[in-house]
Amino acid sequence: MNNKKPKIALFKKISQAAVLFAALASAQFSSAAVVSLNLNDILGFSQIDFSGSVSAESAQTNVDANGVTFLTFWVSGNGQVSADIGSQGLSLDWSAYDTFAQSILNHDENTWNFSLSASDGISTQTSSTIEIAPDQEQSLSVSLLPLANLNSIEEIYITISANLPLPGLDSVSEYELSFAVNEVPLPASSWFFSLSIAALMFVRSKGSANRSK
Amino acid sequence: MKKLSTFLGKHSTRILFTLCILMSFSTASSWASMVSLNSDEIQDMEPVNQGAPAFSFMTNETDDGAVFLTFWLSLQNGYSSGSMSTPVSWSADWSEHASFQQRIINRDESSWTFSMSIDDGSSTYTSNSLLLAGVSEDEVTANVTEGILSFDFSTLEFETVDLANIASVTLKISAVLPVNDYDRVAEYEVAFEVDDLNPVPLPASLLLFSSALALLLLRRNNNKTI
Repeated sequence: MNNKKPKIALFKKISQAAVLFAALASAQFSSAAVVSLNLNDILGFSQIDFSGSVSAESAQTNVDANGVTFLTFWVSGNGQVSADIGSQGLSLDWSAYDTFAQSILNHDENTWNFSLSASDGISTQTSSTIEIAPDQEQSLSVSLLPLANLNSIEEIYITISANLPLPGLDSVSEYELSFAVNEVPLPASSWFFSLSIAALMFVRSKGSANRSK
Repeated sequence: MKKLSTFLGKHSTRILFTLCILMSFSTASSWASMVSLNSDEIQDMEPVNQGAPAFSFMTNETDDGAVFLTFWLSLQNGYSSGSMSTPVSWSADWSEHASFQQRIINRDESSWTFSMSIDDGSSTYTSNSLLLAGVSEDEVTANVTEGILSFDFSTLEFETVDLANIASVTLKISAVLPVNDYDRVAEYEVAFEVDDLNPVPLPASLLLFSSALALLLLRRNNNKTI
């Protein structure tokens, strides 16, 4: 009878360690579920649409170790305008991912608005629109889960928008699409979750130890 | 000598009045001797050799000029330039003018270098170069983010220029690309209005001087009457 107690305690400890390991593994898995575009993907980007009082023009002006710099401009543009820069006619299998994220660095002297979109040909998922101040970099992320055909993503693009002209009669935007994604909140929350579970287990094991005494 | 002093005393009012008129005319004349491209001429400027290797566009019109964009694509490295010029059909007679001035405002976040050149059909003359610092939004600072490109026609260099037959005015923007390791896009404004950047103090001081003289004369006349 007395031999069984250490065995049960050992079993409990092993099972607790297994749960903790599973939580940590799930955190790593969550991190891996985010997809970002690489250099070749971004180099294939071009302007695919625009809206507003005048047409937009876009061009790639720089490629470096961090990403690709783009220019989008409107000639004598007034009021709300936007332009979509991305790739169409793709066939990307993103079934292993649940989030599409990309960093954008605003190289311009004014603040511009950006959003990120992905489409499977049936529906389009678009991130919230964020303002990026001059010289600031932010990550945009969009959930892919509502898309029915994650194994066949056909279109990805970013949208740049503003109410023209910006201060200084600015109708010209300069921005960089970066490869690295700086901020994806899911892994951080998973770590927090894992730590909470570990703390709970620690308290529980302390409590059972006191009871056995 | 006595005659001269008598004459001056007798006609002092007329002499002073004539002097005032002469100074006013000379001031007006020196003010008018400077020439700039006006807003219509600025807005009519065209890119020189568009796309080889620079692309230029006018992105906004202003009350006294225009905002331009010049950019180079990603493969363009090292010293590079792009130019905007008056159209082929343009010509001007500047023989009545002593100088040329044009205001340039850097509207980009990076520093860019600007210069201007004029062509009389046989020779090209190039102005000073201006390195203008980058801006944040529309914070324009005199002599830092904006400056004046100028030609002084009274100097030896311009002795042979045919000012009556100016055939073209060209604005050149240049830099060693990429600026700040990424930038190949320049945004800048060419403006007609130059007096706020380059004030000529003479008119204000002349007005002050004239009013002081007038007061003195009035006082003297009043004293005589009494």
